[in-house]
Amino acid sequence: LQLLVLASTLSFAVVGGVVGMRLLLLARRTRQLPELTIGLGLVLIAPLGYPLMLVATVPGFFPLATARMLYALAMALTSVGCASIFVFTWRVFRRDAAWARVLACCAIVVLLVQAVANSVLAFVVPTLEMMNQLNLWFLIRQLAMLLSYGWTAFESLRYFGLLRRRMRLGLADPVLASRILLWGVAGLLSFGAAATRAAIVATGGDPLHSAAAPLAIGAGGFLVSLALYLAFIPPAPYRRWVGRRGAAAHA
Amino acid sequence: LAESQAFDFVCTQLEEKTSLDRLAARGTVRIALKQAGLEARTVTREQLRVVAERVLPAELQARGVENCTELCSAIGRGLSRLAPGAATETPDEIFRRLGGGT
Repeated sequence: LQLLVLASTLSFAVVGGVVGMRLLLLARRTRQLPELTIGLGLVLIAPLGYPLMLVATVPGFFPLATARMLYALAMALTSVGCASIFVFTWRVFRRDAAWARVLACCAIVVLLVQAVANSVLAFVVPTLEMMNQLNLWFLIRQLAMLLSYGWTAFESLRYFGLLRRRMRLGLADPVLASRILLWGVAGLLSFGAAATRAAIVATGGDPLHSAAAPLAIGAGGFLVSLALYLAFIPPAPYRRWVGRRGAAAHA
Repeated sequence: LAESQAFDFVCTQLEEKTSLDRLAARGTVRIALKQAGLEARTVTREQLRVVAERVLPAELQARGVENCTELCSAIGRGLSRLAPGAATETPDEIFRRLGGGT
C-alpha cells in the first residue's frame, strides 16, 4: 500500500508539474489570469507542496528541525496553491457574481491565516506526526481545501451539464466539453482524497498507518493524473475518439 | 442581472408579434434557452438563432402561438442583422486556450 501511495504521488507530481508548467508558460505569453492561477495552483500543490508535506511527516525521514521547516514550507506552498484554485474558479465560472468574489477572498484570508498557524504549530509540537491529529487548525485547513476542490468540481460539472445540452444543437465542441468534465473529475477525486484523510483523522485514526488513506490517496492520485493529462495535454487519438462520439451523439 | 442584447431582441419580437405578454415572452425564451444549456445573460446572437430555429417553435406551439415556424425563422433572420454584442470570455473559450486549442 505504501508503494501504491509512492507511485501515485510520483505520477501526480510529474503530471501535475508538467501541466502546471505548460500553463504558466502559456500565462507568460497571454498575460491572462486563468492560466496563471491554475498553473500556479498545480505547480505549487502537485510537485512541491503535497509531496513535501507527506515526507515531512514521515517519522525519521528528515532530522526534526529540517522536517519542521519543510512542513512549514509545504503549508505555505499548498495554501497559496489552494488560494489560486479559488481565484481560478471564481474568475472562470462566476466572474460577475459578487458572492463568488466574497467567497474567494474569504477563502484566501482563511488559507493564509491557517498556513501561518499550522507553520507555528509545526515548530511547537514534540513530533510532526501530531500535525495529523485533530485540532482546530487542522480542521480549518481541511475544510478550506475541501471547499477549494469541491467548488471547482461543482462549477465544472455544472458547466459540463450545460455544454452537453448545447452539443445536441451543435453549439458546443465535444473535445472542449470533455476537457471541462475532466477538470471537474480531477476536482471531485481530490475532494474525495482530502475528505477521506479528514474523516480518518476526525475518527481518531492516523492517515499514515490507516489502510483506507493509501487506497484513497493512491487510486485518487493516479486518476487525477490521468484526468489532468487528458484535460490539458490530450493526445490526438483521444481527441479524435471524443470528437467521433460527440458527432454521433449530435447526429 | 442584465440579459444579453440578443435575448432582449427575441423577447421584444415575441411581445410584438404574438399574444404573449412581456412576462410570458421572457419566460418562454428562458425555458428554450434552458433546454439548450444557455443563459439569458451570456447567450450570443448566433446561439440564439439556433435556439430560435430548433427549440423555440415547439415552446411557442405549446403556448398556442400560430405560425411558430415562420415567426421563428423571421426572428432568426432578425438576429443575423443584429450588431454583435460585447464579447465576454466564457469558460469554454478559456478552456480552449488552456488546452492549446482543439
